[in-house]
Amino acid sequence: MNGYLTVALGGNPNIGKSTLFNLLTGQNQHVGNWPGKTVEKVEGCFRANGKTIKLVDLPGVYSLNDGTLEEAVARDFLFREKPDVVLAMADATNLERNLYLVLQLMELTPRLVLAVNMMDVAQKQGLTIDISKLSAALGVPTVSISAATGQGIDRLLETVIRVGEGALTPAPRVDYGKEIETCLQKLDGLLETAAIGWPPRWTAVKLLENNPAVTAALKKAGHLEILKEAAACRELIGPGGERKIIAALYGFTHRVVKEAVACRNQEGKTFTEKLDDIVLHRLAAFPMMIALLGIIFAVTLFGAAPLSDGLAAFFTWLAGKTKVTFVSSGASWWVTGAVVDGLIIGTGTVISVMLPTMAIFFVIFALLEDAGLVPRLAFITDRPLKAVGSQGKHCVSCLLALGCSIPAVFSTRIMTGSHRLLAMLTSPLLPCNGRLGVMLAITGAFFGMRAPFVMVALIALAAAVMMVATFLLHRIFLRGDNPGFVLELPPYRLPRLYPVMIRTLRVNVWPVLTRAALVAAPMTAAIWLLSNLPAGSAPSVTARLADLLEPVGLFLGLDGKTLVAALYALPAKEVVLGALAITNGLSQGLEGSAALESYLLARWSGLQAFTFLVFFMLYLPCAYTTVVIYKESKSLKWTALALFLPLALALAVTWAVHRLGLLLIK
Amino acid sequence: MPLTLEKAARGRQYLIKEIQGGGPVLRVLDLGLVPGTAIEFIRCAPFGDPGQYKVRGFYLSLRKEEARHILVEAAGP
Repeated sequence: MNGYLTVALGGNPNIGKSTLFNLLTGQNQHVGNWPGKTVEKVEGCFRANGKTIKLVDLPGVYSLNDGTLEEAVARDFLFREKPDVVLAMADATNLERNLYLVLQLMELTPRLVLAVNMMDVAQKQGLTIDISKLSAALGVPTVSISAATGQGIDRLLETVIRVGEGALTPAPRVDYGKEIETCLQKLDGLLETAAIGWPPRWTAVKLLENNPAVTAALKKAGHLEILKEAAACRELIGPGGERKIIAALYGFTHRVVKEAVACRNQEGKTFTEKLDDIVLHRLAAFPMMIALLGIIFAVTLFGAAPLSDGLAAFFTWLAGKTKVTFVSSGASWWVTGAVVDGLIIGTGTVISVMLPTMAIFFVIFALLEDAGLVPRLAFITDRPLKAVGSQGKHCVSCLLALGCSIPAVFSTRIMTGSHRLLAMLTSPLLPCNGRLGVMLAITGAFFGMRAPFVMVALIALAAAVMMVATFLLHRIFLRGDNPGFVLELPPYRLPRLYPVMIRTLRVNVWPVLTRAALVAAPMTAAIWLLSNLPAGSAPSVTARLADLLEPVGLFLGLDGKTLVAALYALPAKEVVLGALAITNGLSQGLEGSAALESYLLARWSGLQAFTFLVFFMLYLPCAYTTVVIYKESKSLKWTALALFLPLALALAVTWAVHRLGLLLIK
Repeated sequence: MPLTLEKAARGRQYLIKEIQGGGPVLRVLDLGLVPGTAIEFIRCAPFGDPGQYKVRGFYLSLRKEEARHILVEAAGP
């Protein structure tokens, strides 16, 4: 042992695993990815009873052999890193299903402690759980806890340390029933003497399931007599070995629960069922979800506005001070310009627009998730999305994209196969808060009282284009693959404000923001240089680009300068107004110009303003989103498609809106 | 014609007899939908699909195309 205990925390999703993790590790957490995988890895250290414990949060899974990425990550960790103790967590209100994973963990390691969480909730539901009976039936030290209140945590830690130090030796007992057990014991004996390096009983189970990887490994190592015995055993228990193993495990959990849990008969519906009657109501579900969305938006926009203004004022002040310092110290004009107008204003715009809106929007969203509402959203939207080849969880990513495309792309990790790619590539089509801010400003200036209707029309158009894009991708590139849609609808519960808020800010908001600023800063500096070099009377690079794009602009009912502005807004969409000021010669930097609004009002018709917003809303994912899509998909082909498809659709839709608008006006 | 979960009536209890076929539907086994398990159909989503089911005390959403592969028999009210 190397001075500290490594403890792996395993369990089903939605059972309060991260609550326990946060409670134990507090601020000492490290969030990253599992090596080479797009699965989040969270680990942290803490001290208890004079021992240092390194706690690794395994991904929440239902099983260790369901073929998902999370499951592979969890299993690999247990095999390779061989943690000193596995802390298995189970939800007291749902023991039968939770114990299934615990049994699988018990087959992998004897150094296991079981924590039964949410005992208080179970009691309210009329369930009485006899912990000592449960512990005896499984042969594993078991502690009842409440991660929410901290009850039972001291005893849990004491037990974990005793098991880790060898003072307490669990004797896990999994009973598959007579027929399978006879086979397992036979194979177990052979595997024990062969010393293959894997837990013998676990390997025996895999052999009965006819697991291809395990069979191949044994064949390679030359254990032909074991494979022969395994084939004979499979013959004995008949076809469908894997199904029989699963059924046997559930048979065992069912018996254990029956023995250890007394259930007072429930009268009528549970709280979750009553609430579902309203939330999932045939006619009311959609109007209620839309109303909820409207409220989230209103709260985000009104709450963020004063904070954004404050931050913007701070960065303007900082830019002014820096400029004075640079000029007085004799720096050349282009260094001053690139640093002040490029770096500071560019980064400042990203932070002042993104930070308040993201913080509010994503915290609200995380609270809804914690309350159990988000899976319900996936449930009611699955059918329409299935029609275009995707599934309900796609809608969750799209909803996040209304805040920021980057967390939306990360959120597609909850999907697999083609569904994940579809959601990753199409959800950035929905306008993020950067784009929404620009849309609000321009619709407000051009349409006055009718602006809210124009906004709703634009967002509805974005949703329609997202559906079309999903359909096209599905039909052309991802035909035939159908990962299916099986989803747990967890019970409702009161969201926990403080831990959810801290986690959201630390995991979603802050890293995204800092990296977005890091990508945006050099690009905004480069744009400043392009617009102001060469110095003198020769046309700048920006002016030449505008000439080059003029025909495309005219085709869309816009002009070259507008398209260059859109191009310059790729580091961060919110700077497009500043970019329009640059390309139209109203300003030298992205900080924008007070004259821009009256300039645009004089030059653009209402139709042109609308056309511009359609193009701006759809055209391309921003620079950092593109980087994230590449990192998540690990494929140049899909990243290229993530750029090409929105661009093609934006050109087509903008052109169509422009022509249709002309017809209607005539 | 054997009864499948797709044809289950709202609010009634069924016993799972068999999961047919392979592919994504097999993941329901890991969730405890093994032969002999009691399952109740609670409701459809607003557009008629997927369905909400209660099994082993938790709630699960399954599409019709998955429910079609789950053979059941009626049990209790």
